[in-house]
Amino acid sequence: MKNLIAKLKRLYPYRQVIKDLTLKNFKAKYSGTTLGIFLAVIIPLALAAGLNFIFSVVFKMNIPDFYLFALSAIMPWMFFSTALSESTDSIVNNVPLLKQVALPVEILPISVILANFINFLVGFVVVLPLFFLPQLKVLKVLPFLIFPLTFQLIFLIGLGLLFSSLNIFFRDLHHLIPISLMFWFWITPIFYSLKMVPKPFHWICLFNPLTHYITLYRQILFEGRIPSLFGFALAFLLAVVTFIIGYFIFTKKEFLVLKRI
Amino acid sequence: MEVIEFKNVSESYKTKFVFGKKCEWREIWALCNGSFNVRKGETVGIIGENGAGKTTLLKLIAGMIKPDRGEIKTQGRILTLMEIGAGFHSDLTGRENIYFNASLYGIDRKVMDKRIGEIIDFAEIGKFIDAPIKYYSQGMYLRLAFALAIHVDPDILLIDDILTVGDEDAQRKCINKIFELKEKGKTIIFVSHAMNMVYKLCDRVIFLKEGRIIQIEEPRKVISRYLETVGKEKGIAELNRGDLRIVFNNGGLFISWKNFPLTKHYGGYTALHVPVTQNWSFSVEADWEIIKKTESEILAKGFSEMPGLTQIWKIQIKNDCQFGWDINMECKDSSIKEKQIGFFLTPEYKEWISLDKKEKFPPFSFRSDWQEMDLGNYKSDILALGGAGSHLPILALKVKNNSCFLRAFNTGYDKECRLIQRRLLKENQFSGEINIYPNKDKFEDYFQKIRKQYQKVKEEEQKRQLSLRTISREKEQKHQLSLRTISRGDLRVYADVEKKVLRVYYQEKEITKGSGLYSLIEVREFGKLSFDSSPWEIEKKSSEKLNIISSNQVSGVTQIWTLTCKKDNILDITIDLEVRKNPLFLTNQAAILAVAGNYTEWKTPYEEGSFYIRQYIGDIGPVKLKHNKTSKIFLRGNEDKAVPKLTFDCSSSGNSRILSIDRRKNMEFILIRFSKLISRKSRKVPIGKHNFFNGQIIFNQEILLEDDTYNVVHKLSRGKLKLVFDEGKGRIFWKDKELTSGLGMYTSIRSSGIWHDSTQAIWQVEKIENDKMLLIGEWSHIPISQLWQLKIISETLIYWKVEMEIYNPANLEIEQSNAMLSKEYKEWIVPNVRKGEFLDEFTNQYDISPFRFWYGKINENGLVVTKSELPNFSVRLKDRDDSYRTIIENTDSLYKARLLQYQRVNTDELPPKKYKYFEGLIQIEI
Repeated sequence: MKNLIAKLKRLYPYRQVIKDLTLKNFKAKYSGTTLGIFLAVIIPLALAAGLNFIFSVVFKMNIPDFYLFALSAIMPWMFFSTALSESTDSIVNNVPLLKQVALPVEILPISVILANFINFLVGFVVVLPLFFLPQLKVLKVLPFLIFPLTFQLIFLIGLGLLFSSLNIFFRDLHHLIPISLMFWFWITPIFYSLKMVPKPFHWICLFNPLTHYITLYRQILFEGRIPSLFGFALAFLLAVVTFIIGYFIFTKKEFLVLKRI
Repeated sequence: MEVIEFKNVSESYKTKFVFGKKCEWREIWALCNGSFNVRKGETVGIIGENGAGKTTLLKLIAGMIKPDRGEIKTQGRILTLMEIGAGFHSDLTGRENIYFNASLYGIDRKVMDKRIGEIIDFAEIGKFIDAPIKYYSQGMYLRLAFALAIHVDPDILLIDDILTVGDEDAQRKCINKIFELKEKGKTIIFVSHAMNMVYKLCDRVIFLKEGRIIQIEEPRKVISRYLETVGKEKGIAELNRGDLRIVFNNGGLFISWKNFPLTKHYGGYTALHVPVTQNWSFSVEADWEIIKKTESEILAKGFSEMPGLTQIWKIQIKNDCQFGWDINMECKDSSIKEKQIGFFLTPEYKEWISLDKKEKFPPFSFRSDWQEMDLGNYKSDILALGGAGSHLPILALKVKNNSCFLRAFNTGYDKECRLIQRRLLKENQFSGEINIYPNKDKFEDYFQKIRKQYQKVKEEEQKRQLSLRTISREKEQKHQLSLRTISRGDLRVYADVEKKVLRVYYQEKEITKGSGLYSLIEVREFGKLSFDSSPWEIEKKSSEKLNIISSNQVSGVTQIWTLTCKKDNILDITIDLEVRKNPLFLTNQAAILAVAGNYTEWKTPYEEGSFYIRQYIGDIGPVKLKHNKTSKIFLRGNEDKAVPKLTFDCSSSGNSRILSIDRRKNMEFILIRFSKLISRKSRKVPIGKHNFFNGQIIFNQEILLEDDTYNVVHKLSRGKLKLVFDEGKGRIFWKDKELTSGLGMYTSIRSSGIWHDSTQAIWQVEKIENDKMLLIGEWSHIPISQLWQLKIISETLIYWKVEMEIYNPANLEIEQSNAMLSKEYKEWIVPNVRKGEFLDEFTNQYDISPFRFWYGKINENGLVVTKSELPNFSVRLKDRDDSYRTIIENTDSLYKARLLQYQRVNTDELPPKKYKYFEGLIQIEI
């Protein structure tokens, strides 16, 4: 634990580097595109429109405002999945940089995740009115969003550190990540709610840590209520544990990572 | 103060080995138990073969990796240059990258704001600073990365072997900067394969081999040890006797005395001239094997594939300061006429000693040319080097048969070696003896003996001469001086016989500089026959007329110069060539005038300009000429640099000549060169006397520079279309407005790295009809000719066919057919594929790739350029031929034009043949 704090302190002088790298990654996301930053807005909106059409017009689902129901989950999910897959490759992709400067390696996955976080926030802010305009009570509970946002970020950094360092030793990860993300997508209540899952399979969803974050988002944005303290506590605990485990394994491997590149 | 400390450091990594189906991980020691210290301000080199652990060592110092065992301490900010542009992101602009990288090293944006101007200046990338760096050339990359690195102001700079990328200019710039940093007291750790740089730059050198530190010592000792041991094991052998160590290493012979190296670079070597490639093939390039090795003898056999040569070297130690070196060569290729044998020796030897002369070597003043020493009248088969201080013994080389004499050179400052060398022509054997004299007196005794033998011969000859001339010596000297000078009015010419330089004075001020007025003749059989390589004989005909005769014994060619002060300000120059032994095959001839750098402006009948040079290639700053086929030039200085106006006119030679002008960077002089265009017929020079050059140098007189008369110009026209052929370029006019620009329609061929344009060829009219002309052009420096057919098919269509003949096998790497068009054209189109607008920017650099708009396969509709007020202009192939590539680009700032190009690449040498070079149609659409 002491070790971990020392590690985190070591990052402080590099705050400018983290900032620059984050901005660089964010810019690189849209370099060469015509629409640029608008893509961050257009994609979730298009998604919402598509979902609305399919589920309420074609399939006639009985959940009211189904597209809002799905949108409240799909945006955090998209943030999660792109950030995870990009951060997994972050060290491998930046080998030339590491050959040039002696840097704390964790800066790389962290800055990738932060860049995705900004990207997510930009899209999120634009989409927010869709949630609170139809039911104004959402506006009141909106400040509570800060918790799922922070916890998810910490959770992701833990996972990103873990995966990015493992990816050096098992390049297979790069290929396995997309397919596992697909499974992960289906076991996460995004297009369905937890209640719709038959009892025998309920535990699968509960074991999935992402379920708890999605639930928080959905309770605030879609149902317009404050989640239970238990919900927050669980999400916080998951985040901290993942972060510590991720950082611990990363620190153990860091020494070998540098040798391998 | 120690800034880097290594204590028993070991570092290993695991590597996967695949043996058939089995796969195994093995541990490899990249560094094994290494200890060393580096003090502040020291420059330390790291050398070793690939995979010796050099990069690992740098990474350890930089703290990028941690050692498995041992301890590393460093102090201060460390900066590494490991891979060029490693920290760069190709999508970001140069400026963004600078800020980003600076933040990686922990430097504040505000600090960088102040330094960014300097960085841009150093990197010389101008506007490109705001372009994404994926558009940069290698040289720009190198300069930017380097500029950034040094402006980050590190305490310790680690440089991996990166200075091998980029153009020479960029490299030189970076190297100079490294020297500057060294002087500022920065600590530098430096990995390189360029031994000369390591030698000059480093205070100490670490020699790594397979992860172990073999040696840490002063550069010369370590480098020589490295050169002795690097290479294939079966071609290395070592002899030791007393203080003397001789190492044979794959075609190089290295000598050291008490561990101090006497040799440098390749050491003792042989080389032969391969006529096909015009290159020297060195013994170190051959495949060597030791066939016998005893206590005192090495027998080695070397085989080189390319010229098919087997050589056997015998190295035999006789005692602790003498060894013999015998060489037997057997050559299958009978075209090899010339060989050389020599020693590259350390520049610590400051003087050479021949039998009657002892002189200091001059400083290294050429980049890669070898500068020959004048060994005096009695060229002998013995030569010694000395003057190196007490730690290096005097070294003497004596050869046995003496049909060719020993020569001494300075190499260029790229290698910085002294060189003793001997040429072999027909013979295939060489036998030499190398003596080492740690004791000066012993050497004197030895030399005295030999000197006496030669002295006898010399004295007898002197007696004979003295009896002829009884005048006292002093008088003779004065007499000599006047014998070598002619003058009239303000004009004076002095022939410096000792240095073999012709100097021209006007109003008692020397106008020439450096090598003065001279000529150059190159023949296939003997290479360069310089005017100043053979002794001069002078005949003064009158006070205004002087003859200089320079006979080259080997080739049997005599140059006869006649210099006449025709008027008070006009010097007449005539050069005749007398071929006595065998007919020659001429490849190049030129008359060259080196004038003072005070001249600032030049003018030819076609254009004028100044000597301000924007870009140097190495030391040479060429003046770009649009029309270089001329035989007259006028030079002028501006007023505060008082130099007389000068006209150099060689039009009375009656030959086509090509003018080239360049300015030398360090030596501050300007070279004016008139090279003759040599046609196929005039290449063979039979036995007899031939006029080679007629020219005049005229001072202080504005001469009317008229057009040269020998240009071949012809016109065809139909309606509003007019086609003009002007000495190798086709110009197209529409309603009397020229659509082409600069070189117009022309062809260009790259042979052995040099471009040859059709405008430089000698042109003759074959046939002219109403709407058709046939022209033959012959290239002077490459064995080809082209037959051009130009035909007006209709008022809007021109047919252009080029057939090429190659007489002798030649390397023609790139063939181009071009149309250079007016810059008024604003848009380009590759029909149905792409179109775009031209930039109105024309670079001064040699690298014009950023201004290349299109490169791709041929298109049935050709390449088109448009502009609303002008008719569309297109070039297309008559028949489809996929071997061409098409290019659309801007030319450089000399022509400021648009270029449409069809290009073909040849990878192999081409045999003599006749073939179609280009057949196309030029369409003008209204």
